Amino acid sequence: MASPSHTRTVTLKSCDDVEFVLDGSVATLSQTLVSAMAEDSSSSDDGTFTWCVSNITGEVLAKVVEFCNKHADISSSRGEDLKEWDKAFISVELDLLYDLILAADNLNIESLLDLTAQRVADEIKGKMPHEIRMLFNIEKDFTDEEEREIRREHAWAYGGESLKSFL
Amino acid sequence: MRRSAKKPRIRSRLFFRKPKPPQPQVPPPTTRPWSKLPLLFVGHLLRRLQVPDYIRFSSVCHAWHISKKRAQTPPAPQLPWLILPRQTHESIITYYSLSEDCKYRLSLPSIYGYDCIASIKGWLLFESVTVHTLRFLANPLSAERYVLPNLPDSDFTLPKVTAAAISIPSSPSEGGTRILIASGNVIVVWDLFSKVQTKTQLNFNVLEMVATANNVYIVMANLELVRYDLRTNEVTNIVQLDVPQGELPWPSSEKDHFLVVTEDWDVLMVVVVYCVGADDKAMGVDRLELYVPCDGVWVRMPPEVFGDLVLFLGFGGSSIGISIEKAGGRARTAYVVPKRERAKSLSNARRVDLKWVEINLESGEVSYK
Repeated sequence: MASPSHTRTVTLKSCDDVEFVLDGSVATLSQTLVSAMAEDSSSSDDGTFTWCVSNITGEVLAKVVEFCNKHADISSSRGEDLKEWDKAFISVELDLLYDLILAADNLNIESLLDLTAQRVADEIKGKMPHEIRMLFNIEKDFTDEEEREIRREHAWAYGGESLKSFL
Repeated sequence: MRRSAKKPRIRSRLFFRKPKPPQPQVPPPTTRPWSKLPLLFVGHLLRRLQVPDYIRFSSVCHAWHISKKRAQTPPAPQLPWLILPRQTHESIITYYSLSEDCKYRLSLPSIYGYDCIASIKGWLLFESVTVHTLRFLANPLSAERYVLPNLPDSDFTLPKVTAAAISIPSSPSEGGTRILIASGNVIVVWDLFSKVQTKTQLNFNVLEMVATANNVYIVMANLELVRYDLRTNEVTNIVQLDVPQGELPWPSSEKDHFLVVTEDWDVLMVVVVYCVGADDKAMGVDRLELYVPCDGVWVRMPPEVFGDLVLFLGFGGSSIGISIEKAGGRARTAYVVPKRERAKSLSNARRVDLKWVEINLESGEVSYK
């Protein structure tokens, strides 16, 4: 019989073969790991479980493990302190942010998806599409006609005016 | 060995390089394929975006456009927008977005000659200026329009609307949506789904009313606040507004009172005391007072209760209270944000007689409760 996940340890292996050992309770933040461990019937009682994350480098995985350790630690995961910690944690360059998004998606870590999504939402807030493209280095792959068609339905959203000029 | 031999060379090169003049910090462009975002993440992102950001998300690139369609996630709950005053011969509605501090203009040809008399969840109730019985519901953002049924019984043709409210549990196309029109002491409730019309006569004229999903809170001319249960058509007294309790300032020309229903459907009364005298403060709010009904009398709450509560108060009509995260609404109202830094916008709002409405989401389907 497989032992409960929180008594086991989990070894995460990055695509460049860097290994991280996680406490079972920390690993439960990842729905991917929870499902994988539940399906894994082969484990012995000393129960180490190894999981390879195919598209995540050791550098990124280290950040993810840091995040999970912090969030699984009940003594630290309280209100304002954790919010501050999260804010500092997610103040990273866009490349790393993107890598964290892929990792959060791959491992299905709800709280990390939330945090990365909030950061991206803050980045694009109030920006016009061309500004968003510039920020994220995204190529405009619409033809002018396609763009017009997409904008047509909600043309108002592209023409916000400052109220100062109005008053 | 080879590696360690290289190191000093690189260092020395760096060492002798001329220091660059200080430059504005422009981060290097990201090298990651941001157009490719995991669908799970897109869902998390979309529900954090306010409506304008949510709409613009689609026109960044093909991949984002498609992933937004696939994610099917509604945008974030948000502060209501204000409707700026308009002439009835204009067919443009101008909204003011408080959180972005900008205005959006929407063209809506069908509102020519119509007045907006009530609103909730982005739906606006329009009434013809010339023929008061002609009314329709419209959602300017989703471009949906719902013409109110004809009223065969002349009893239901009310001469002059004195108060109006809408109750929309989810969307007008689903059950439970009711339009409430008050004229004098008569309230007509139209259930848009069952087409049933109910007429209720109160003992006194209706001064103001505000609807929730199942109840309507009504202030009558005798200053009695009653609850009208839409399911049973029963009217129950909640509290008498003019009880001479403590220092309740009620009502005077320099003080406005408003009924507020919070997102928890609590009824609050807010008294706004305006500064008068000094020119620059003529229209400003001096202070807000909050009362809650408790055992049949209004009990004054300490100012701390306001906290993050943003109050949107009506002028000559009912009103609503919202927290930073949630919203509710009604037309013919202006807003009060009890935060120091917003005091200026408030006096501006008062001066231009801002009206506001809660904007629905793009699809018009999501409600805030």
